[in-house]
Amino acid sequence: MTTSVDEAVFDYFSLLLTEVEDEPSIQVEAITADIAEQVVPEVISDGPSVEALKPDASNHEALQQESSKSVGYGNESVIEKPEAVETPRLQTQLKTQPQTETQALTKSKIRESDPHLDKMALEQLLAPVFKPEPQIETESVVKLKNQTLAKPKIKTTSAPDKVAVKPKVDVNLEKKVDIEQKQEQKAELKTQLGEIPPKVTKDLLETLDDEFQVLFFKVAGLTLAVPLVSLGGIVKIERINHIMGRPAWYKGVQTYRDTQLNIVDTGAWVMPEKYDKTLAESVNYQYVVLLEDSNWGLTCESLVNAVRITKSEVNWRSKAGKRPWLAGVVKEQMCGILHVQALIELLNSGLGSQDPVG
Amino acid sequence: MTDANKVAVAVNKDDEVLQWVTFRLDNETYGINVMQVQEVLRYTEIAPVPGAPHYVLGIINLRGNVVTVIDTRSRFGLASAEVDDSTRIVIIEAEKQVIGILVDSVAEVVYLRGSEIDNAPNVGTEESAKFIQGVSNRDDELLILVDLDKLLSDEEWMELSQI
Repeated sequence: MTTSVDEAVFDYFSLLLTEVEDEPSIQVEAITADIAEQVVPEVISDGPSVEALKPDASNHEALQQESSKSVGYGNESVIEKPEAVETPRLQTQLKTQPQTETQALTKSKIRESDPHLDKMALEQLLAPVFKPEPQIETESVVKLKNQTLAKPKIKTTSAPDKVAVKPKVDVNLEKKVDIEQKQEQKAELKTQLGEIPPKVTKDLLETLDDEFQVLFFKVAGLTLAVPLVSLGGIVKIERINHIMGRPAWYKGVQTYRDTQLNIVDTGAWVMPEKYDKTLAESVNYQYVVLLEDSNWGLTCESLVNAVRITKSEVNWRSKAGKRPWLAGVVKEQMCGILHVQALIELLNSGLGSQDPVG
Repeated sequence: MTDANKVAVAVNKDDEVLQWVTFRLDNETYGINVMQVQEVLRYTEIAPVPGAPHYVLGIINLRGNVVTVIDTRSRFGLASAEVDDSTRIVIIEAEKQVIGILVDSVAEVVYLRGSEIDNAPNVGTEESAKFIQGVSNRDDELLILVDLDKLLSDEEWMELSQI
């Protein structure tokens, strides 16, 4: 029975392939790494599995034994055998561990260094046995190359990304902190001054009838008028408790029907520029004019009278302006008429008559 | 209703009963938490401390311990007054420090429920506005409750500890 050379080679590879499955792949790895180290040492040293790829003495010996073993299989093409042995093994290795480019490069190097190898013949022979092999091989090579090439790219792009992102985060944090600080400041302002008053107060004219009553009262020689609809009551001054840390115009607290009335030194509030120590000492407050249903009361020296007047008798202010608490001037008495609602809002805000509004 | 009854009534934790030591200062009555009061002393000579902050009157020797006395009137923005027989030094503990506060007189210990304490008028912008914890109307008299921990700022407490 005669067999052709091709058939013999085919049988030989079949045998080898079955053997490869049983053998550990470390030996092949060792060979590959050994060669690869010579070819591209810098790639190996950068790789993560350098230790695994590095050959040791035993592996090298095993390789030599393997080579002699393959010779011992007995065939005509003795020279071709060792090279031929390596090729499928490398393919197998690539199939099982396709992590590094080194292996792929090594393989190509080996192929290039085998001028005697008839590649075409081998491929033809291997085709029936390893049909998917060449596909896998090319895939793995491409994959590995892409991976190894992509790796440094990722590294270089990721580093500046980090740098670029960091300040962004910092800026956001700073902004956040700024916002928080502003909010805290706002909250502080609110707690210290109460609610912020509206820039434009509600028009008093809408709430008044054509003819309405006003009460005139006197404070340090100044006469003021308050519409009776806005009058909460009149209370005689008894004992005003001084509360520390309050503005100069805040006279203190007086207990009235189980509630605490906040008493305003009207002279100090309305005309702080004129209300010096001498004037303050000369003033003798007798009553408290309560503002609507609030806890605020204006001190006064005397109550003049309550008079019915018409809207036309008042020179109304068209704009709230800097003094929203002043609704207008009663023409006949030549005195200011109070906008009580606006006044309450100012007092709740802890603002004096000359403090900027809004 | 007696004070003891008041304690018995207050079972609800939200309406907790607290005891307040009241003292007088410039015709006003103030209250401080009894738990912070260690003792009340008659006026004794206060030794001035050179270079001490303006709110410090000086130091006293309390059974071998040096206690700093605060000028409460000055702290509350009140004019100074002469010392008389009713003047007292109240030894208190605040912010982990034992200090004395000079007051015109010490009145009594009162029981107050949480619901009996109102917020102080919120118009103050000065530093001293911060240490009013609340007000309470008691027997037609206003009791101003003082938060002793806020009597001094953090920096001032620190400064005080180094005297």
